[in-house]
Amino acid sequence: MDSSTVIKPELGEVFDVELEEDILEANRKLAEENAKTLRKYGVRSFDIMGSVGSGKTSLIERLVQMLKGRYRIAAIGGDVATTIDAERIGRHGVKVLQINTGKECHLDANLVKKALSRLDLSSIDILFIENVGNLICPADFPLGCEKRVVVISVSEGEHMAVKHPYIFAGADLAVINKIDLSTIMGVDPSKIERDIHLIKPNLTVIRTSCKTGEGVAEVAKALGL
Amino acid sequence: MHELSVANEIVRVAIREAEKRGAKQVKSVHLVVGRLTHLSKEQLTFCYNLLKKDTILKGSRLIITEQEPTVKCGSCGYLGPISKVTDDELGLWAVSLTCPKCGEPVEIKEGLECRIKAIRMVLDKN
Repeated sequence: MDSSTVIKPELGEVFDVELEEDILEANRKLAEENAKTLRKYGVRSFDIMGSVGSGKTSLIERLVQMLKGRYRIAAIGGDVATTIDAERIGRHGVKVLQINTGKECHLDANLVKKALSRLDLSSIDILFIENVGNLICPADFPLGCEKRVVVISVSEGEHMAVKHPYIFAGADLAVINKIDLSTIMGVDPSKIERDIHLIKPNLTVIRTSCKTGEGVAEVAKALGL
Repeated sequence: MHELSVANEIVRVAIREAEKRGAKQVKSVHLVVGRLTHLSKEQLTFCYNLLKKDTILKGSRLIITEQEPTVKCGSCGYLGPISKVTDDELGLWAVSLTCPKCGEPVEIKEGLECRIKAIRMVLDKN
């Protein structure tokens, strides 16, 4: 092309650089890579999200107890600090790895990628990833798991779903835990379930008590395990 | 809640682009943020202004445009604004992935982005 037909900005001129670079996309791409890695090794993976104290670790413990005879299981625990949760899960005789985020309020695909590189994926059938206790930030950061599970408990009150719609919008399964406490708490789980379905009409909702074990088998079934 | 790390990434990209072009000054960084993200406009701006100090971005502004969510229905083909759930009595407001036309589940098309659309810079005369 003739150089006279190419328009170039004059030096010193204000110049708009069109970019279209998505900041969150970087994490999504890494999440896709994680998903690919996990699929390559035939690992079924589940991102367990929920508030602090909703019962994420208890649910994983229950699932591990139920499934460890049939599957080779590993778990990654995400917390700001400590290895308490990973140790709890590790007591059931499965491989565990703890990610301490230090400052961050959620796990991201890069941290999970690092963790995956430290696991022998060829010796794992199922991987549970326990996200940092938070119903807000994890919604923006997929990790590359096959399914995202959100755990809430009746002790958090009746309005948890409508207060945190985005995490439910991005979830593949919702668990309402501590169902044994609903009468004491005066919380109607049907109301929570209705709210979840207003946000995402086709989302499977399962009521559990990780204390008694109620509903845990249904969770395993809903995860295809 | 994770605005600082996102703002850090915005600053990194903007500096990279400015250096690539030998810019002497950056005027503004234009960002599109979807309303379905948890990113707060105010906090992003606050973090950007903290991080831009002592960099080529120091005289620049972060200009954020919010993107309204749009959804697509696989059943009836609806493409448009997302449904909202409201309960005036409780003051509740939430989005719903239900099709406003036929009630079937919808897929999110827009509203999850955090995209640097453009960077306005002044090129160096040398």
